[in-house]
Amino acid sequence: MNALHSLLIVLVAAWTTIVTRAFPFVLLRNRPLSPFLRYLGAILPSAIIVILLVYCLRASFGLPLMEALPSFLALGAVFLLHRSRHNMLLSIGGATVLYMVLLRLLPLL
Amino acid sequence: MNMSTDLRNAFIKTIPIMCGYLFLGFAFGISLQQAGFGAGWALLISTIVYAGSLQFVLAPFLASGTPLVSVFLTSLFVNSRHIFYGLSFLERFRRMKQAYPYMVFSLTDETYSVLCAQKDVDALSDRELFFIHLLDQLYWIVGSLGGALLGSVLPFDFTGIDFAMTALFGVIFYEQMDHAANRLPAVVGIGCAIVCLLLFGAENFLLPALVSAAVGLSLLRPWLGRERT
Repeated sequence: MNALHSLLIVLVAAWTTIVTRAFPFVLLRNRPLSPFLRYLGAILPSAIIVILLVYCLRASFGLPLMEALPSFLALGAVFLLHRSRHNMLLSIGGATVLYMVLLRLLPLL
Repeated sequence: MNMSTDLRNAFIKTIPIMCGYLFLGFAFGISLQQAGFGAGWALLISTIVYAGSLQFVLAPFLASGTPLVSVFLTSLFVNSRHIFYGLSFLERFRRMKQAYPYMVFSLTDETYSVLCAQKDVDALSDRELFFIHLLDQLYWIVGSLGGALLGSVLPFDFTGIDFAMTALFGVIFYEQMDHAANRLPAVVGIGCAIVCLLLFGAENFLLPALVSAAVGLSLLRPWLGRERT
């Protein structure tokens, strides 16, 4: 193991990450957004958020029902809490506590 | 508005990220420590790389001295999804002058989602936006350092607290569904996610899902574009 090589690994990862994040900003610098890109920028978040939600749950899709249950029940709790109280921190906090409890209790059944 | 109000507002908006990042950062610190790299490395990596999923791959890379070409290609592949995030906040960040480079650098999935959760990003002050980004990275750094320093000596088992981030995405999704204009794009997103999950598997579906959703929404512009002003 060599410290210089380790440092280079970190620098390459850092540099590549910056490049991917800066890509749209650099590509479109000095230019106003076209109507098409403005449309895409406005509409993409509603598709991306749900994709990221599936991404967060990705591990649960392949699991047996009992092991997948905590995440899906807790997600249901997010929706129910948010529908009744409309308080973001309560929805998130309540569902997270429920998830942590289910994660520990369900294996005991 | 004064600085402490901006900081306080930013803190409240990022509480879910705090739960997620402290926990995941902690896990990263532990994995790095187990790979033989201590707190200094955790600090360096979480400061200059600051990309959750990539950092978890870096620990084994460091341990085995992986060739730089592989590091480069993996980083590019794991992070290419970020290309899709900048577009929505491009014009907002451009107006931020000195903070602009940092805003671009620190636009992680989770920070992106906090911005998406705001009804109107234009209504937030530059300083509040900057604090949202900065606080998120601080949570991540503190978590990583904690994991590297304390390892597994903490008495309480926090397993599952990172569900806070899943819940955050759930809340944002729920709120988006209140607006009719967001429903069809979300259906396109779910469709692409499920199809790609089945086709590419849990660890590889994210990028194809984002690409196909972007292509699908581009094709639907004649129908969806009219509802947007």
